[in-house]
Amino acid sequence: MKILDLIKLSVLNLYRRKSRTALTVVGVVIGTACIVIMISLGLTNLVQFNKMLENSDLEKIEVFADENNGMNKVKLNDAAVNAFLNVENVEYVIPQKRITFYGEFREYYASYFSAIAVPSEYLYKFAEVEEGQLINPDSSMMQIVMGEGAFSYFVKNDDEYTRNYTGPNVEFLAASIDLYLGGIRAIENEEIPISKLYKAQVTGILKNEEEEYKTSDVYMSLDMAQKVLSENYKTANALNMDINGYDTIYVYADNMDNVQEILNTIRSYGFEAYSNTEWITELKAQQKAQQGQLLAIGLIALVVSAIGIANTMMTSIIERKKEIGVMKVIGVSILKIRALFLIESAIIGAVGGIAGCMLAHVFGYVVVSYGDAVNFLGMYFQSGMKFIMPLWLDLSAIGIAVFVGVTAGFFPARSATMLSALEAVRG
Amino acid sequence: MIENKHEPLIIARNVTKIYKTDKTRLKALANVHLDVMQGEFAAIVGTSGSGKSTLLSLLAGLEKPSAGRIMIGGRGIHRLNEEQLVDFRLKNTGFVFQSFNLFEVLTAQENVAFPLMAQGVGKAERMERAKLILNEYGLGRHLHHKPNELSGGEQQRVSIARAIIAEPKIIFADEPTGNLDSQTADIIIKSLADINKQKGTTILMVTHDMERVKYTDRIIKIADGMISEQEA
Ligand SMILES: Nc1ncnc2c1ncn2[C@@H]1O[C@H](COP(=O)(O)OP(=O)(O)O)[C@@H](O)[C@H]1O
Ligand SMILES: [Mg+2]
Repeated sequence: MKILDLIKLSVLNLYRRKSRTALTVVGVVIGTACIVIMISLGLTNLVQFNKMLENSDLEKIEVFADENNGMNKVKLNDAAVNAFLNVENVEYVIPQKRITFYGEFREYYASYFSAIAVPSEYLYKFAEVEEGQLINPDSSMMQIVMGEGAFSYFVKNDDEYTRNYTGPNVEFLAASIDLYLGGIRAIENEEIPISKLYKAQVTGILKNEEEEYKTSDVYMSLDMAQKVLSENYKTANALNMDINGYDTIYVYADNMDNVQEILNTIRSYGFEAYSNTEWITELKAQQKAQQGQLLAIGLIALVVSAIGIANTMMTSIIERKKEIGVMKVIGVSILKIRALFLIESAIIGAVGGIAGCMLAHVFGYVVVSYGDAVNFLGMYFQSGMKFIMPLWLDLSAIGIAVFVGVTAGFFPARSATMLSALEAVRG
Repeated sequence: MIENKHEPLIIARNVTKIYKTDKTRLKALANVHLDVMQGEFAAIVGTSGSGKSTLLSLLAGLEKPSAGRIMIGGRGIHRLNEEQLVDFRLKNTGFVFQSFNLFEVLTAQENVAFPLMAQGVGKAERMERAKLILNEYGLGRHLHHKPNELSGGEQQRVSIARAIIAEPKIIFADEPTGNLDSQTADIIIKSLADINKQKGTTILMVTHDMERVKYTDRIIKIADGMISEQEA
């Protein structure tokens, strides 16, 4: 008997029992779809997770002054920077402070225009320019880089400060902005001396990390900020500005494995310190467990559909006892009869597998949530629940479904060949 | 298969069949001696439960004797294994059953072509041969009908066509008329007799219908698992 004849016979037999075949196939469809969706979810989660790891400086530790600890007040100043530099395995330390100005640019003004001041040699770690360039550290002029979001600080009158305002329609790159220390408060309050005028040159426009969200960060060099504060000591003092202190100190470990130890040391000094590494380690373990759970759900679905196939094949063989006997009497070999049933269960597996993959794709297409972070089955999807379904996933899912079909059909097929040819003659 | 006009085609010597169930041992056949000549049309008759079907299935190699020897064309089929028996039947025997036993999913034509399909004959050839035989049997109109669309007599004729399509040396028939009215039964027996005469096929047929045995060459009577009488 030729293989094509066997296949045709199998198809005919499956077709004769249409509704039962269909129900069994539905079982496999659900099982396969379940596996594909679960693995796809896991993949998506993994990809987003890895992307998040990439984006989160794992060697970085942020240090703040512990505001809740009033008794033992520690200060973020150069002494602290030096202390951190002396901690073992610390590679470098970057202090940062925020400094606020009142700004004027052509016919526009900014009531509060605040810049983040960092050492110019480390600026590249925080800022990336889209147009123009980063600050020149040797310049004696005040230079700044700013995000497009910061354009909207500038208005003609206060009524323009609305949600949808994107700033004046003028070129900021290479522009010169007049800055006075302290913001509008320092200008309006008679008791506060007005600072010197600084002409800040915009050397670059910042790149936006996300397309929808335009960054409103402004950066300048720390040296320049310190110079402004010391040149306007009275103003700064009147505004209660912390002249020698920093807002945040970034401490970089040489290796993420040393982060926890450095954190412990810095905390023991009385500072508040924080690192992505801490929660990512926790998240990693959690993530592994979730991937395992997903696989387990998929496998259970698959086992259930395997039982469905085995049950269908068993029933079918019991019904066809006589037919099997006749085949034996006519002279169809045991191997061929076994193949006939294995092909039937393999077809159920294959059809179910293919349909299951299609169902999974439809599901993935319909259920996808765009952009926003989502929690599903205890998993966190940073940039929304999407379903990554590569071709290899479909192919292996169909392969698994066929394998399950053949495996589930194995024992029924064997019992079919053990039936006696006499079944045909008697009864 | 060695053919020799002077030697019997089928030789059974001291054939005994004992069925063992949980509690009992049942001797279905006891020390049967039987020779069937090449080209013979023999009827096996006897009351229900006398061992007719048992004898037939032993001779066809569907089950093994508990003791004794069965030679067909000089070959000891009691010594063949399952796989060899299957192959032996495929090449040498045809079967006709009381309850027709056609494949429900196949058309009349496909049913008739089935033994050729099992032998690996190509589709075009086997379907053509099946068509020729069915036409000969006056079933040309029913080529594409499924068994459940045919009458009992028609189904049995399809089944005879299936039994002869591969041109076997021997046809075994177990009460082929048991489910048919007497008029149809007559047609069936006559067509078996025709096959026997025209092709020289040896036929062993179980029946308990004494009216039908007039077409056969010999009657083998069985009672209680023993051959009681043989008449020509
Ligand atoms: N597989 C079996 N197991 C046990 N007893 C059987 C089996 N097949 C047949 N028999 C018994 O053997 C005897 C002969 O059966 P059988 O050859 O079918 O009779 P017949 O065909 O003449 O009616 C009967 O008593 C029957 O019950
Ligand atoms: Mg019987």
